[in-house]
Amino acid sequence: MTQIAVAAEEVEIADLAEGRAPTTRELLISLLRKPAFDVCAVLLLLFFAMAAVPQIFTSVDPTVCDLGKSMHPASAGHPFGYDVQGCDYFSNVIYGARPSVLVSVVASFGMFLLAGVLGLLAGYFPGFVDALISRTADVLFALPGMVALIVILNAVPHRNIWIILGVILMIGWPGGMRLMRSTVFSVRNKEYVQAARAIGVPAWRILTRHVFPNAMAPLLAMTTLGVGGMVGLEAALTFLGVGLPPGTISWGSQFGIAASYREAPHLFVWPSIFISVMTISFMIIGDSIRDVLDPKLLK
Amino acid sequence: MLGYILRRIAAAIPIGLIVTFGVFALVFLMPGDPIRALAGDKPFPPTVMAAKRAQFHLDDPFFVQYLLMMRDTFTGHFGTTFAGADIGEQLKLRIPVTLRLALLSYFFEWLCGLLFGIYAGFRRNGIVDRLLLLATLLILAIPSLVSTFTAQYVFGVKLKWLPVSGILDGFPTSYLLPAMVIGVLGFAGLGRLTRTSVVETVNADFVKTARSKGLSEGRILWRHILPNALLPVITYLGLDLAGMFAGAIITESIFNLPGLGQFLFQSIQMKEGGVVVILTTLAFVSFIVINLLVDVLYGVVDPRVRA
Repeated sequence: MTQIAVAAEEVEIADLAEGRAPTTRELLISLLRKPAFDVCAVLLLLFFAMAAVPQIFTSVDPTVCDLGKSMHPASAGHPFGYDVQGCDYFSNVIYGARPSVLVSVVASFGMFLLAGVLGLLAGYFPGFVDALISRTADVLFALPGMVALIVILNAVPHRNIWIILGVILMIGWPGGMRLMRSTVFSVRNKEYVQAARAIGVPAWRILTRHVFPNAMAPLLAMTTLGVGGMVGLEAALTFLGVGLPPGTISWGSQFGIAASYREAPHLFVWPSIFISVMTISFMIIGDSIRDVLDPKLLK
Repeated sequence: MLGYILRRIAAAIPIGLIVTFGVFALVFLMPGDPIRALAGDKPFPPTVMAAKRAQFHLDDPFFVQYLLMMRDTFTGHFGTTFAGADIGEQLKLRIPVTLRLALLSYFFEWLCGLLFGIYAGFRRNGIVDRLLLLATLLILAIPSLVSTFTAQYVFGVKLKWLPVSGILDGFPTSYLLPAMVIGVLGFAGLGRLTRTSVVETVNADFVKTARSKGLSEGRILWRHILPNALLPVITYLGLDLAGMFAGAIITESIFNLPGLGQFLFQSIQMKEGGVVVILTTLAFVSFIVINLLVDVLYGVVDPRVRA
């Protein structure tokens, strides 16, 4: 009895040394022990709440404007002052969280799934499937991503947030796919995969139950580190005029307007602070997740 | 080595065709009529319109347009934009702007990145190392749009140390601020990569062997540590260039530098399909060439790659 337990424990330790992905529970516990992670998680929850129900943060309607107050500085009840059209800037910045949160979270999650699945297929089925996926990735890699994004988004007549998300996903998957493919390569001939194959487990079950969970850690780390960048990307695209349509309340369009009105720096400062705090929180959370997933990277 | 280079070029050709064709198709599919947009609100005589359309082959089938376009690009007959500006002249004016900006930012990036990265890697967990990690985390986390605007506002508008925008002050004064912004943004990634790579190499077995053989520290540094530690950094060189061009679009727009990035952006908005394809082809070809050079350089530095 005890012998079996000891043997099981030894197997577990050997698994850990091999870089076995820790369980979700283990991950959460070690993450919550990091104070920086806790602070950033609280900040992000605030931003998520801002995106979901902005009404609880401000009672002012961001679209009620008074041109006479155009670009006025802060006053009582209006802590961020007024924008060019004389709308309350505080409520505009609060309402601007929605597109940024939506783009960063959905794009990152979608990217993880897309790159993960394609990398899984390319790594597990060498030959035609791998060639098809890898050559497509080569083509996409050959273009500077920003150029491709601008060209494609400009060709779309009625842009909305979902189209922007789709195009970002379409252009952005090759990096993650290559990472996933290389880790799948190292996993696909491990003993447990061979054992599963030998007892006749169907391929899709091997992929979902054995290969994917054991090969996803590097991609997960890469994705979480990239979430912050997505926020900046959405802002940059909207600033360049190929992102969200004019009139949408978003931090990117607020930058675009602030760029033409240098005499009123508050137009620029507030969205900058919000967007930076959000991306830094995402970065630190990504950093913590990476550290927890792979202790070898602690350098 | 020659066979390797030829293989790489052969592999690049089909990718190049797909990319240019794809870009051309996208520009072609964009909504709106470029010639009509040119006229604005004024009425346009149908004969002028037809002549303009014929001049730019706009009534030919899509595929013919693409072939004509590629012929013109590779024979150097770039033609004119829809508004009548000579594209060849424009390129002659704009390429030096982007090149100066890129070289100056490269200089800042590589100087800071290598110096700090190598130093921090050697003195791991020292004060410089900790500062570098904190600074690069901030630089990587803050969106480039925010840092670019902040730098322009603080150093250009408020302190008036450097010109706010334009290139009227010539080289290098007008280029310093945008180049420093791009350089510092790129430095974060490079510095971190260099540091990690140096840390890994310093602890490698062959360094211990070299030390136990009694080699001088200088010789260990120059002959054993640096050549090995800088291998991943060389790969970064190629990747970095793609980022540089993407950065140029935003930076040149913000600092109003009449370079290729700004040209590309304006052309997309004016539906100048020809110019967009020429510029993306240019970006693509230089990207391939740089990556090829990087791979060759890699082979020179690392004997294991040479086959």
